[in-house]
Amino acid sequence: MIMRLFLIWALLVLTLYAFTQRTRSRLISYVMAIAALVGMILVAFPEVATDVAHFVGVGRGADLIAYLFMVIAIAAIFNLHLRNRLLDQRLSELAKSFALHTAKSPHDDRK
Amino acid sequence: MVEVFENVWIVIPCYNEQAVIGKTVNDVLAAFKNVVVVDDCSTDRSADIAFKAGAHLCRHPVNLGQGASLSTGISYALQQGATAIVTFDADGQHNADDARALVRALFANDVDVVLASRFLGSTKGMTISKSLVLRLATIFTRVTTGLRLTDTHNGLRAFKASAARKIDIKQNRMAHASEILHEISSKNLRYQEAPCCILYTDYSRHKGQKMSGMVDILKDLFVAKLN
Repeated sequence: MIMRLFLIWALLVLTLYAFTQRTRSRLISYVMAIAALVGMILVAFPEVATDVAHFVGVGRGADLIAYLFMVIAIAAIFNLHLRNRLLDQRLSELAKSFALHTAKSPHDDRK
Repeated sequence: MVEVFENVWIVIPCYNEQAVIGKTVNDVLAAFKNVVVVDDCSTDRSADIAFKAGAHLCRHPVNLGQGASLSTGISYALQQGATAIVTFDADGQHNADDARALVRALFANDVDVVLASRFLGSTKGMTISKSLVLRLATIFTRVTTGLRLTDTHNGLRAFKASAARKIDIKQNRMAHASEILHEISSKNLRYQEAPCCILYTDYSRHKGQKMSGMVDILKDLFVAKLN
């Protein structure tokens, strides 16, 4: 029972966090909120997971949740990777423009 | 012929080359008036030495890679009113006379780009494994770009300003060599090759591309395709 309460509390926090992030990325905020809500349902009624698992052809509810977790984790890593690339590009542009603005000419007196 | 060279800019990307950059800049300045060294956040005295030797100097505040250095140097040269731009390695493996020959060919033959080829010219001290990898890279590039070239990964190239403006180097690290060729191919730039001599010294062999770098280059090119 303690574990259940803890998980539901954690998922509630996640839902609230997702809610605050909706201005930054609507899609990610919705996905996070839905995942947290589904998580809460599964924590409250674990037999639902088993039923769904049987329905889609997976042995146990716990396995289904593990698979879903993997998919979500991979998607999150991919998303982070894309963001990282974008930041890299911005850093490059910034560094290049800094280099051009601070360039020194040997004919310059203001060395 | 002198006026042809008046507004030619030599772009030298440089990262931790304090042992050789001074000599390279001096050699190039003997043949060309305008040299810009792009220091890619070296941790040694490369930047000071290059500037004291008489080069213009751009410094990246963080290390970005050779592709980014070329891109910065080309932008700088264009800002200064370059009519043609030559990219030149810092480590002393190229020579300035070959660079002059490239520029002459650029204007005499009415092409946009002249690429130096060590396989049309000569090499001194190249290892067999290096030669093999370069030839494989050449075949790979011929297949992917359709350009008929004998040497695809040579840092010595000459561009007319109009062509340099069209070429967009996004690859910060070493995959820019392939990227430049893709740009030449996709933007239908007129190109030709000219022979050059490459001098492999212990220094350049040590500093140059490691064979393992090839894997990184292929990875960078693959990721670029995804975006």
